[in-house]
Amino acid sequence: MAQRVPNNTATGVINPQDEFNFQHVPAQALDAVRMRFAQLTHSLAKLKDEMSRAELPQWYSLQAQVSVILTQLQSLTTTIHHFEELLDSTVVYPLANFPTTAHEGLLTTLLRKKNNPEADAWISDAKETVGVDMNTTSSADLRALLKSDEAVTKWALKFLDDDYSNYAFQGLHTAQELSDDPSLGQVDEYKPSRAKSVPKKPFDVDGVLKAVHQGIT
Amino acid sequence: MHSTIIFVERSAPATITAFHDILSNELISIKEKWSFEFKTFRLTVKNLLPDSTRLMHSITLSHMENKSVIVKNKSAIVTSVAQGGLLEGLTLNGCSSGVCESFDNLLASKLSNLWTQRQSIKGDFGSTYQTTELVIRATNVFSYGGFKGLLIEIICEDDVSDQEFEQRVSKIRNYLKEISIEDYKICGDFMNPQKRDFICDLAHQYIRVLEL
Amino acid sequence: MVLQLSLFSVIDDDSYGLCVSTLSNLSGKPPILYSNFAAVLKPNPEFDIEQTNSKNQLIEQNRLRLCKAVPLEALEPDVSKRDYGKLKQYGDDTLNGFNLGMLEDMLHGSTDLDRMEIDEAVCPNDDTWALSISDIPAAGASRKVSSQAITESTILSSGGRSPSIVSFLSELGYVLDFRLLTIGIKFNMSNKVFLEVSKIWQVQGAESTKQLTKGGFLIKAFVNVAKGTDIKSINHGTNALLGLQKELSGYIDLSIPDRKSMDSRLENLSDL
Repeated sequence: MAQRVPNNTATGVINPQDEFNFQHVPAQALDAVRMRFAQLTHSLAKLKDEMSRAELPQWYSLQAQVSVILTQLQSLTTTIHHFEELLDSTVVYPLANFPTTAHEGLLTTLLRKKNNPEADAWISDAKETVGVDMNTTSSADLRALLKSDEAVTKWALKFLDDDYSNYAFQGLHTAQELSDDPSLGQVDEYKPSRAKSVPKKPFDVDGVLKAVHQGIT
Repeated sequence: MHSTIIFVERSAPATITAFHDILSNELISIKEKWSFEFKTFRLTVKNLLPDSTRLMHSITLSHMENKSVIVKNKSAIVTSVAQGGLLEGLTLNGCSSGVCESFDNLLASKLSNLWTQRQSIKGDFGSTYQTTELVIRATNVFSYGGFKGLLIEIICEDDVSDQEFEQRVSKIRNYLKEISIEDYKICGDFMNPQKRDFICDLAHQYIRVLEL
Repeated sequence: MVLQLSLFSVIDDDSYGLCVSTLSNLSGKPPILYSNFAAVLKPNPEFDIEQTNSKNQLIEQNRLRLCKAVPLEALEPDVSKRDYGKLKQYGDDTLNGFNLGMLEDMLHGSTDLDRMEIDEAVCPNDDTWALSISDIPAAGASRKVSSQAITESTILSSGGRSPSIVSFLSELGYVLDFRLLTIGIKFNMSNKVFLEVSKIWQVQGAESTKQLTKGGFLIKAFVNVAKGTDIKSINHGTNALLGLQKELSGYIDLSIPDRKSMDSRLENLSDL
């Protein structure tokens, strides 16, 4: 696509000799989005690969990958949002010198705006899961819903944090005891016990094994 | 349960087909393939008494869950490469490590200074026939690649009297007569007549017809 | 042929209770009570036996181990007492409340018709024995665990003219050498490591027993590797045992026993 330098012909016939000016192509925006998409598809493909292997990887490895994917998804949506106006007003069309007849299939693929049925199904599925009717909810309401969602997450995190501080997870004393007497827990109280509980050895192991394998002579 | 074994040394590899044909009228169904292996071992101890038996036989039967019966001088044990529940019980109690082999392997590896394998007779891909009265198994028998004869195993799973079983076996013997087979070894004895044990008796019969 | 990797130790009778709770906590499960009877047989000493086989390979005369589970009902009729606590009762040589004659019957087959009927009820047709031959454990100054090859088969029943396992084995060329009774508890630790804490008696005839482990318990930690050639599993098993050794060090010191003590070959050939 290109910004056409207006030719002074009144007939509107395109002169194949004209140079095309690509200045107004939002290259920066497209590149940013393209890069984010590439990262995301790469990570998703990698995860799909791992999941289809005979031996599943460890849970923490999967969790790390999902984290990365969520981050990349976030980055992608932020980027698209940032360039929203620009991308929204961009129109794609083929140049005159595009070999339409030869590559008709390719052209329709590149210009298609309609989702394929699979993607459509996913999207409607996701919308259904959210439980919000996109047709009847106003954008203000949507924003409010999203905000309340975030608020719940914030609240949960705070709750965990608060509760966590009520417990002492290390050492031999309870949080209550520590707050009453700060001198506790200063010294490492874990000591290996060598006291009376170490078992004695009433017989010789080799002697018993010999009797087991060869009998008592 | 009753059993009898017939071994036809004077037969050709194709005799089994003739047998199948003549049995066809009585056949209800043909069941799975089966095989057996018969090995003879000799005790190599030098100072045995001259009249003592030196031979031990081992019979492995695919249709008896691959159990092997080892027999020497009318004393026998039934062994297997045990699986499942049986082995679990032994392993739990510290008797077994959970990994078992065949008794023949034990003989060949750890006891080969006492016992030497003398011969091995095998029947592979034998056919199993189900008639109204009996289960009949037949297979060509080979030893080190050479054809040795035709072996027929006759088993009656119904609870019938000895006489009734004899009659049923006679019918089969008549069929053999019809295809001109009259010269063969046959055995339906019991290893210990006082105490019948199906698999031991079966092994005993195999030994009687196959031993030289 | 299975490769058994093992480490051994010992504790005294008084330390038993604490040991059981320590190991139960470590493994996350309570122990299982078990008991087995082992008859060890040796080649008939009256036989003049070859040292090589038909392929001229050197084969050492080795003992055969016949082992069978002892039903726990025979040890303790009260099912509520059939747990690890049972082992606290065995401080001396005797085995109170246990009928030794039962072991004789297992080996020789019962000639007492009355008892045969009772046996059938308690353990019908249970003539199953595990038959095994062990090699001397592998040598090596740098070994970290004991490694012993065991060849095993299963005997389901005996038959024929004299239907007892011992009569067949005498035909095989083996006679009774000695008998052992083991009562113990077994812990299923992580990584396929088993830990047995046991008491062992030598059974002399139908009358007397002598406790080899008097005053304490033998501790055996082991891993069975199904294929002796499976290096990966051997390494895995070795590391698992060493991990357990480290965890218990200072309390129970698991160590490698003298390999000559685990040699079941006949004495006169053991210096080969």
